[in-house]
Amino acid sequence: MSRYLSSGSASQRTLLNLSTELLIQILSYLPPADLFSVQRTCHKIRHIVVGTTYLQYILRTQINGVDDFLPPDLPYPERLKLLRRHEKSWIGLQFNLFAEFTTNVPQPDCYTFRDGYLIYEDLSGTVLQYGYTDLCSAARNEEVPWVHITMTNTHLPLPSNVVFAVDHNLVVAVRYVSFPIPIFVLTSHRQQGYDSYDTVRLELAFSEFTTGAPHPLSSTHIVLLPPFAGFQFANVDTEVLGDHILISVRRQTGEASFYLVSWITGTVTFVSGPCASLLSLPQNSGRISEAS
Amino acid sequence: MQVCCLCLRTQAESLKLRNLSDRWTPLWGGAPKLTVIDNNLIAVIKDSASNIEICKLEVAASSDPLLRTICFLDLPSLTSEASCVLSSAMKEWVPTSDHHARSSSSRIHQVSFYSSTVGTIALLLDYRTYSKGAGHPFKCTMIISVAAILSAIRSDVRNVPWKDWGPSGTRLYDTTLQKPAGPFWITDFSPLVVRDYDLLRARYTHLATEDTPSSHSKPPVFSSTEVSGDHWEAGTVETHLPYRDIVANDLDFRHFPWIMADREWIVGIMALVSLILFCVRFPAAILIACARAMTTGRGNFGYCVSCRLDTGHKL
Repeated sequence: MSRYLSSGSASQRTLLNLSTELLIQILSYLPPADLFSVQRTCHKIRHIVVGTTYLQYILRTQINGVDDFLPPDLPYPERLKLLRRHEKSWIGLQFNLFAEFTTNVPQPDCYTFRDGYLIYEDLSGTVLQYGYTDLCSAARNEEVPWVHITMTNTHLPLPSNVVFAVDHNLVVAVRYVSFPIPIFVLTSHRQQGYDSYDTVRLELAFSEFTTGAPHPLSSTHIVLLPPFAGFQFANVDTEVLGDHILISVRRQTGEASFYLVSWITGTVTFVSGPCASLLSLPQNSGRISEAS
Repeated sequence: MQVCCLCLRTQAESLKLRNLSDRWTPLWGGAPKLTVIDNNLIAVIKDSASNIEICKLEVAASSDPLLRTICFLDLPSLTSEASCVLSSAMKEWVPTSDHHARSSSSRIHQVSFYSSTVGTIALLLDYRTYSKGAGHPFKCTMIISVAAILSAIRSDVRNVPWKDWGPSGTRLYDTTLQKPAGPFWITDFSPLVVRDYDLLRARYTHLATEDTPSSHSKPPVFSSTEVSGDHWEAGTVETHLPYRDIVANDLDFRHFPWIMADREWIVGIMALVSLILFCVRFPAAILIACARAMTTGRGNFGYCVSCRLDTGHKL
C-alpha cells in the first residue's frame, strides 16, 4: 500500500487511488451496516460494492445472518443467485406442502424442532424416551419414518432437562441424584460414629442423538456437578456452546452458580457464583449432637 | 452445639468467585436463563428481572474459563410492590458445531443456507403487583434486537439505563403470541403472518417490493407501542423497534395448536381428534392418510403437516 501512496503527489493520495482489488479486500472487512452505508459515499465505491459479486455475497449473508452448506467450489455468482432466491422465497412466504404424517406421542407440547429434525421427548414413563423424524431425509408426499429411542441408561429420577444439540449429534440429559455424605459425629456420650447427610447433585449424561448410545466423542459419559449442602432442589438452564455446556443452577436461596462442562472430556469447571466447594451443615440439624 | 464442616476441594484451585448482584427472587422462579447472542457473548436474565446481564465467556486452553460480566442493560423499573418472573426466553436455534456442514451433507435434502447468528430474542415476562395482598399477573412479550444489545455495550459503562437502549432496541407487547420462525416471528396463524424486526435486512432484500400471489408485505412500522401497567414506576413503557409484516395469502394454520418453524420448514401439529372434528383446508389425501394411520392400531394421537420453503433449487 505504501507504494501506491507514494507514487503520486500528496493531493492524489486517497483511498480511491488504490486498485480495485485492494479496495475490494479493504471493503470486505467492513461490518454489513458499514458496507451498506459506504456505498453512499461516492459513485466509485458504490459501483465496486454493487458490481462485486463477492462483496454482495458477503453483504447479503451477513445481513441475513446465514452461512451456507454449498460446495466450496461453487462460484460466487451461483451462490449469490441461490441466496437471492432464498430471500425471495421468504419475502413471498413461498412454502409448499411437503408431507403429512402421524405421530403416537400423546403430548404434542413436548416437541422440539432442530435443523430439520422434529423431536419429541416423553418423560411420562420410568425411563427417558424420545424420538425424531428427519424431514431432510424424508421423501416428499411419503410416510415420514420415526425413530424411537429409549434411554436404557437412565432411571428414576428422570431427567429434568433434556437438551438436543443435533449439530453435535448430542443429547444432554440433566437430572438430580441424591447421595449420602458421611459425617463424622461426636455425641454427648463420647461415642464416635458416622452419620450421613443426603444432598443432591446434578448429573449430566451425554448420548448420541441418532442412536441413544453413549456419545462416541465423550470420554466421560456421566458427569456430576459439585454438591451443595441442604440443596433440596435446583432450577437448571443449559446452553450448548460448541464443545462445552454452560449450566446455570439456581439454588433454593435464589443464588445462581454457573458451570462449564466439556461434554467431550468430562471436565467440570466452576466459573461463577457462590462458593461451590464448601459443604456446611446447619446448626439446627437433627443429625448433630452436642459434644460433651 | 457443634457444626461439622466438610470441605470438598475441586480440581480448579483458583475459583473465579463473583458475587452476582441478586435481588430478592420469588420462590416460583427458575434458573437464570442463558442465551447466546453473539459468538461468546451470553445474555443472562435472572428472575426478578431488573436487567439483562451481558457476559463474555472466555475459554482458553491455558487457564480456567471465566464468565466475565461486561455490562448490565436495565429493564423498565418496577415499583416496590411489583415483581417480575422470566417465564421463558425464546430465540432461533443456531448451530454451534464447527462440523455442522459436514454432518448435514449426508442428508438427502440439503438446505442451502442456515442461520449462523441470532437476530432477535423474545422474553416472556410475568409481572405481579401485590398492592392488595394477591398478585395480579400481567404477561407480556419483549422482543429484543441483538444488534441493539451489541450497540449498547460499552466498556466504560457498567449499567446502561433503559432509556438509552430499550425503547429503540425492543418492542413490548401485552400478549404472548410470538413464535420463532428462523430469524422471523410468527404473530398470527390465520392467515400466517411473519414479522421481521431487522429493517436493514428488510430494506436490502425487499427492494423489489412487488407482492406475489402467495403473499403481500405491509409497510414497515416505525410508530411506538405503549403498554401500560401499574407494576412499572413509569406506568407506561414505550418501545419502537421497527418491524415489517409479511402476510401469507394461502397459508392457514389456525387449526394447529403447535407450530414450529425455521428457515426451511413450517411444521404444524394437531391432535387427531381435532382433525376429525374441525374442517381443515387440505386435500382429501390427508384424511385418507390419517384414516390409514388410525387403523394400524398403533394408537396414533397426533397429525403433523410439514411445509418446506420453495427455493426451486436442489443440491
